[in-house]
Amino acid sequence: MAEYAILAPIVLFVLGAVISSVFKDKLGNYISSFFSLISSLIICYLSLSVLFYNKVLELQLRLIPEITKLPLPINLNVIYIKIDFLSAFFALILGIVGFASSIYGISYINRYLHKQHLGFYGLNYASFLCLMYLVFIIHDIFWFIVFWELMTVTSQFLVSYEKEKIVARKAAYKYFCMTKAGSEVIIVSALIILIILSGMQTSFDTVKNYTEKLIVENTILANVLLAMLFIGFSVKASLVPFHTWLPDAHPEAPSNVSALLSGVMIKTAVYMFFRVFYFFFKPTIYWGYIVATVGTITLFVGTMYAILQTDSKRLLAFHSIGQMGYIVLALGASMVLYSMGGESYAILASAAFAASLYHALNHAMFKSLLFLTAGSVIYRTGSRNLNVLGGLAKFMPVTAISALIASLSISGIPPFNGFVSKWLIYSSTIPSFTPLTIYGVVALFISAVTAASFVKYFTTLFTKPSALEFKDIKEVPTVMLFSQVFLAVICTILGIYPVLPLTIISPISKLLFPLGDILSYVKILPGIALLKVGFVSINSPLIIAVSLTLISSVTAALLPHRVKKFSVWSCGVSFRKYLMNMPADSYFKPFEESFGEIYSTGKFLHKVLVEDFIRNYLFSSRVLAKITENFAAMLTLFVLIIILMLLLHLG
Amino acid sequence: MEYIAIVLANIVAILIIAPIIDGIERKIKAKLQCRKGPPILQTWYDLVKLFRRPSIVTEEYSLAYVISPYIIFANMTLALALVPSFTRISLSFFGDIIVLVYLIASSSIFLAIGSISSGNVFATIGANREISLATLSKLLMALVLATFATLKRALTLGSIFPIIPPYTLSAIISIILFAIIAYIDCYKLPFDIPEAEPEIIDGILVEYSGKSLGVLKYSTYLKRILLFTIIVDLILPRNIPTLLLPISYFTFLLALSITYVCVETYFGRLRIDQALKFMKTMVPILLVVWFIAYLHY
Repeated sequence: MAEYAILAPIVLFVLGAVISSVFKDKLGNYISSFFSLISSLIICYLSLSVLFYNKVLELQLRLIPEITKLPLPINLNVIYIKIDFLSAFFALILGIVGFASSIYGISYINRYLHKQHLGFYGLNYASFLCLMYLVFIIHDIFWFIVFWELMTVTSQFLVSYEKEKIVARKAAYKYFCMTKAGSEVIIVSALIILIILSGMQTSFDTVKNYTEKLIVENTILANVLLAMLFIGFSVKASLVPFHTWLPDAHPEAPSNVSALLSGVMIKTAVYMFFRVFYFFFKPTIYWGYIVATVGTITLFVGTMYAILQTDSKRLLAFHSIGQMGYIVLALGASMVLYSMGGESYAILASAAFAASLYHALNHAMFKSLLFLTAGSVIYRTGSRNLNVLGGLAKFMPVTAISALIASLSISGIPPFNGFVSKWLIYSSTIPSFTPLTIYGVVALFISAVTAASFVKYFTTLFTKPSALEFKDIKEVPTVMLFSQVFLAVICTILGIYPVLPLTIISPISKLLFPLGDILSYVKILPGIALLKVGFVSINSPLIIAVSLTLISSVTAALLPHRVKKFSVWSCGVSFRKYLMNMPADSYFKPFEESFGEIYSTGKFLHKVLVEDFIRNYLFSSRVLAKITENFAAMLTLFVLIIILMLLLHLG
Repeated sequence: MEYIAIVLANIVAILIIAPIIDGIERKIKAKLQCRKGPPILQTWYDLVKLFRRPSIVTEEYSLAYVISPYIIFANMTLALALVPSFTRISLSFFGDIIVLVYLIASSSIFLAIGSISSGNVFATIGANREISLATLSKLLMALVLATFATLKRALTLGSIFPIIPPYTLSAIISIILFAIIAYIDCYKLPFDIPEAEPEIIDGILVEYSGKSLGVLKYSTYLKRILLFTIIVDLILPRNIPTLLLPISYFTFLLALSITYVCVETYFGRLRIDQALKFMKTMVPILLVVWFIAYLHY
């Protein structure tokens, strides 16, 4: 009976979606948020019980119970649901982020009251969460594609929720077109698998048996399949060069939906990367290098563009691209290092494998927290423009501290969670002494760039004096504060106790990773996870760091000290307070200028690959349309083809 | 326990000598400029005076402004625990090189956050310069440390020191490059752009006073000693007897700081874009050196 608990969140999500769609005002939002909240908690419970008790949940559901098999080539009647460890891990991410963003939405969405149809939001929000859950737990190729496409549709409605804004509609359209194009590739590869390989059997477990053999028997077909799947899922994962939809689409959604999009939805692609590269196929060194290279390019490009942004949510969206690069780099590195063989590479490979999943979890936490804080600023000031905002730490202290924790986490500063996963990435790539070393160095450099751009994000929002005067700004309502503090606490706990996430990653490594349990290769200390290479220090350096910081700050604060308050010094001349200001535009200008060639190359590539391509495509399709409209031309073409076929047949 | 005590004793010794080394530098600089110069302990007197003075904070300030000097100080102290200095014993674990790069970079970040939070626009300009320089220098530092790691096939500071008993080309070039990077990171004269006094009136430090300023200045001296120590460790031969080690370390440190101060005296300040361009030209050189080291194996 316990298996039927899998269905409970789905039922609740559907109920929430259906009931909330009836109401036009506040009630529509409340019902949907409430049902999503409860079912997110159930998802957390289910996935944690799978991960901690090592018990895989499966369920075979018949749509029409009387009929065992429909007269169709694919058995559509059966939905095979299975929460294995990988699914449970990603479902856990969905559960936590879904919980926080649903609570946040209770208050936040009310800012759209009387402007938008809140029931429409409720319908799409609950069904979006439901479909993401289904994508993670489904174990069947056919239904996976169905849910994958539906997930894109519902999230697209959420992106264009403010439908009066032409920017939002355009972004949603771009997002929908690009992801749809990506999923066409996935559909074709799924068809190849179904028709050529598995004889129309759709279950993941059955398909796995055929694909595993394929890599030995028919290398070309296997590589073609891998390439198609990689490209298809790259669009959703927003890897360079398929990333252009993300910075447009994610900022336009309501902030708690942006948190879900950045935190969870792009992780569905990471989940499928793990399925493709570790579950269906076995890792090879070539694919490892391809994946790692794409990851490095992605993290470089995403973050280098993020540092230019002056729109708070757009800056965060670019960082989503960058952090996806880290996850994919670690995945690729683990594939390369595993294929190299040998004892020392085995340690590095398993660290990289763990780092990839760990960073996926961490990214979900801190990125959704960052989007929520950006949302709180929008909720109170109505602005996303970093050039005019500022000085909000005085009015919104809790939001400021959560934003600071999230910023430090994403920059990888100890003792927060970003540090541990990034540390695992560096310490598995740099000592490999292969080209991966340089990838690790680039990742290290980019983490400094990330930190720089979060100095910009945090100071321009919260501590720098503002360029406009903001009056009567209060802290956001308690529900919104609660979800921010909740995520900030999780960020800190995951950083101080890496043993928690690594324990839940360990069953995944037993399931997928050929070298077995990752826990046997790393020594976990509070705040850091060291690889078991050579000797391992007895003390956690982090404990010392934290104690030093605490001791020094506390002593400094306790020492008797006279403090006087003065206005900001401005060379003795009194300026108007809001005039003397450095806007976000001019932050890091010299740094950006010194990397000018990167941006000009990006511009050139955008022109060649996107603008010219689209223009030529439109031109050729217009020509083609003219020809097809012309009856005579069609007739000539038809006759020509017939003659050609006859000639071929005769000759 | 003994191990921890030795590491702590090392740190305390460096905490004492860091301002003295700065005092010596000031003396030499004065002599080179035909001045008499302050006594060698002058930096200590300055620090003590600053610690006893009352602080002035701005009306716009926030928490980050108050606590960041102490976090920077803690970062630097921890970084000192990672490098062997007077003895060969240090806090050592797999990947401590990466933590070292991290600590140096994160102190810059906290400095920037703290000084921007003071609300002064000069501090903001200074912090921007600081971050621009620190980001690029992190790339250089990561590359040169990756070269060291590749040369010695190790990721522990204890195993990569000293780098040059095999006198290979890549080892020698990478030491020279590291010395240049360390010079840039010390914010010595051609590169003291974040706190340019005549231009942006002490930039990042403009709103700091009293104890906070003292802590920040102290951290700057510690950072210099940290970078010097790494250079000394790179070249100090391994077969020196343990008793002679503190003396030879101190001699090397002094020689290095005198060399640096002599260089410093003959330069004017660079513009930020010139400095960044200079640092960027080092990237391809470092890549080539890394590649040589990689092939050498």
